[in-house]
Amino acid sequence: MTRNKRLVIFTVIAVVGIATLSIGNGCSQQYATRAISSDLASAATPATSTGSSNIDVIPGARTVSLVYSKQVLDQLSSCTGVALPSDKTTAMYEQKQGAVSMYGYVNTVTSPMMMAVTSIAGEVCNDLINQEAATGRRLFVGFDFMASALPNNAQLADSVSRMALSCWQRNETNLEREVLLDLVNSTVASNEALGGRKSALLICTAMLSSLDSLLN
Amino acid sequence: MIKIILPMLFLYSAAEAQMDMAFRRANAIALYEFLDTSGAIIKDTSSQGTPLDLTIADPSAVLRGSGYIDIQTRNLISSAGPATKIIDACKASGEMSIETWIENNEPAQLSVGEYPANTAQPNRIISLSSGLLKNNFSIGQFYDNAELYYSSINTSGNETMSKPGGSLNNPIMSTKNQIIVPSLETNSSPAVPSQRVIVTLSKDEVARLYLSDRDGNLSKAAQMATGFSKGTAAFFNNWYTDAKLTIGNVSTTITEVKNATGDFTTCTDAASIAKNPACAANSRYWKGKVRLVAIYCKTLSENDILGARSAAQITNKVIAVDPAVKVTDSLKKAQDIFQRLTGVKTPLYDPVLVAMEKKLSSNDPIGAAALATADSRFYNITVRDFASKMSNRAESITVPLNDFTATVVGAVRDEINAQRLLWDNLVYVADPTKASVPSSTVSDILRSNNHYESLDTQRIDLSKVLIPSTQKVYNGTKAVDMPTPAGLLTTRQWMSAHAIAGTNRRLVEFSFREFLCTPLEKVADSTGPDNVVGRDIDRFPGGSHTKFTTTCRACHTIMDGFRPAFGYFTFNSDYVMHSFTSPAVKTQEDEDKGLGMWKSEDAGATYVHGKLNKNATVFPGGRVTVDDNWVNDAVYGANLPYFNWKRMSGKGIQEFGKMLSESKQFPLCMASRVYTSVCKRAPASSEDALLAAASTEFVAKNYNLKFLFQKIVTSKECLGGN
Repeated sequence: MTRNKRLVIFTVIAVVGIATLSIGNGCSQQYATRAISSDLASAATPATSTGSSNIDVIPGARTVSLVYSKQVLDQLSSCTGVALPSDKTTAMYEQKQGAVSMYGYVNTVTSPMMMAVTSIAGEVCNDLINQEAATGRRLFVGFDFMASALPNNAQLADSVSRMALSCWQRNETNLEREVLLDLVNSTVASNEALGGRKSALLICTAMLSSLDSLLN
Repeated sequence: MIKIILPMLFLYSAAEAQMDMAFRRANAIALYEFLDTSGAIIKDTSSQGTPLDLTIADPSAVLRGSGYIDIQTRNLISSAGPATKIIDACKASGEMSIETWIENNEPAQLSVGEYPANTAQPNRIISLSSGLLKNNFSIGQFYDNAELYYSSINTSGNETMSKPGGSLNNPIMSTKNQIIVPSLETNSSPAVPSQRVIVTLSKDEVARLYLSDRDGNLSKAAQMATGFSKGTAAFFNNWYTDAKLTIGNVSTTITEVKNATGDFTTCTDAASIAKNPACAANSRYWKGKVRLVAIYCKTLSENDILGARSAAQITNKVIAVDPAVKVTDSLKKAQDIFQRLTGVKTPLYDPVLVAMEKKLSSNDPIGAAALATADSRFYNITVRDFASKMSNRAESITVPLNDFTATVVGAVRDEINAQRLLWDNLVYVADPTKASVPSSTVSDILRSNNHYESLDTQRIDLSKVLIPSTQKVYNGTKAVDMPTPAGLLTTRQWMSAHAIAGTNRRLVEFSFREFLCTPLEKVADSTGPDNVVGRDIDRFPGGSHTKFTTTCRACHTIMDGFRPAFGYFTFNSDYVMHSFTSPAVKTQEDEDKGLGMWKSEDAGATYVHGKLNKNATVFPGGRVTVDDNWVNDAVYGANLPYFNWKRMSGKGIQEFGKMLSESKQFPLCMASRVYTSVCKRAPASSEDALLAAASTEFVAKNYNLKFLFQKIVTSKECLGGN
């Protein structure tokens, strides 16, 4: 097995792990606020095929939903600032959008949906890195995408913060930052070919396919 | 000479994009402009490498004019030797584009595999091959038995071209590396008979197709092809190095010809292959005019091909990151409003959010929301999906963009009174000078959804390209003015959803459902009069008149009273038919054959579609619809205050639309739909007060849907909080 293959497998496991961490029990930090946790609890009844969902309304509580199939690519490329998704990304989106919830009700999230979103997110991140390589760094300041070396932890942490402000609409927590840095450091070897690019791809894909990026 | 040149200028000036002939001469690895009017040589006018001229095996079998060659029968027009400069250059670059302007002179009429003259298909228009089964690439034509033909491009090293699937609406797909190219219809003459076909193949293994429509407008096909699984470099490496470039046929070897059938002993050279009928079975000759062939070993960009029209896609802002942005509740509230309206997240450091935050802090929530509704995604995502749901029978948002949806999007953008959407002579189309989409009025708008579907799949920014227009209808020959336009009610999408087959009652049911948010069972009235109910409704279902009076009549008194409003319409053969403009036929079967519109033969019902008066023997004493006068029977009991109608009867679809738009339920329904769209759930009964207040303001603001979005999204019921 080549190192690249091992990396891909590990990346998938790691991303799914983060996704599971985020959505598996609905108890992660971002759902601790009163309004959203109430909404999640209130959205237990399955949606109907016409898109109306039997959600128990809690007065004063903001309804939360996720991106739906027709907007998932727009959402991910908008928050990252990818000006125009590439043909390859569009093709991936067309291939995977069928697995994404039609209306985005929180009670319609499935494992295939999260895998599909991860695939699309990976392509969006690839576009983002190509864009930053061509026009200058916005989210991955200090990263050398061609280098066979990892960015330092300060640079990695900075990119996590910038991604969080962009796509999570909040600052990341210390725990989240540590998890992501550990993920990069344990997945990409310090002298690995294209280590800069791979670490950016890993951070971006993990954060973009997490539930906070998908909230709508 | 002038007589020849002027039409040529006319043919291509309208469609000419960024590329001109100087660009082609500089960039094409091989270029054939067909400038010579005689002789056996077709010159390569590219400036790259040694010219790869082509030789016509039988010059007597072609007509040559300035700018074209007309291939009239079997021939072999091929390079003398291998097209080495193409093969080497494309292998080196890993990219390729093929451009051709062709004119299919043959009506597509014969069966697959037997045309022309017992020639196995596909017939080759351009090929770079060293044998029938050794294709580097080729563009061929499959004749179908309908109005279009297919072409395909084989990009792999050793593939047999087979008849592809696909359709006019799904023209490009990756099936064993083939790309399906729909042609112009040949049953009726297009305005611009020559079709421009451009295929691009990029290093990242994505193939794109560009085609001109019947008016000569070049546009990008909706789909792209991917999945060239061997990898671009690999499949170029599989190319045959002895392949010859051929026009109108495929270069082959004598051995293969002989081995293929064992009956081609006289096929000893190119000339005999061209002339000898016995060689025909392994010939793949194509008949028609070729006006240009250009082979590029680079991926032509959209800007190269479409010029300024390539810039119409939805784009995202690339915003400089401010890592020090202060995350406040009001900033997050601004982001919430932005996201609910546009359907996308924007980074917290987006200056728009800061501006919205200021508006919110100065107690101007509508002003804050207005900043978000200025974003193109508001139209391209939120309003589009808001409208899509109303446009189809399944009430799904997963339908392609269509004239119904585009008209709502345009009306919201232009802040048109939403009442007009139900009765005015209005439809939105894409400006063909701004959007590269198929735009032929008949082929792409009235008889298919190509125009709108292409806008959708190309992700073109609707807020930039939509323009208002008046409604047209196809009369079986051409596009004419819609005699009784009524906004959304006479769009192709609405009619295709509800006027196809049936008895046009569904049009009434869904008008109430979509625009008044009132299902038929709610408006049904078992005490309503039954003198409007049609002859096709049994008054004794199962032998019980009671069942009719208690069950059937309740709905039919409503539907059948209004139904004449739609009496002059049907949808068949993929287009809206109007009885004022369509020729009459006597049966549904004849209408299904495309011969005209089935009109009622009942006395006085000259313009009424036959389906309104069909099955007359079920209850002969029932109502015969003779014109489009309708009566409002939803005026009894609770229905009257519920709808608060302004009209109790009327004539035609326009007055029906006005009646709907004047109902008390119309603004309430729009408010409810907007709430569902931006607040992510249907409103609860506890939110009736909000809807009532919002709808009142909506009416006061001249039925401005954009305002309604701004109003509802900023409500505490939507955003949360007390």
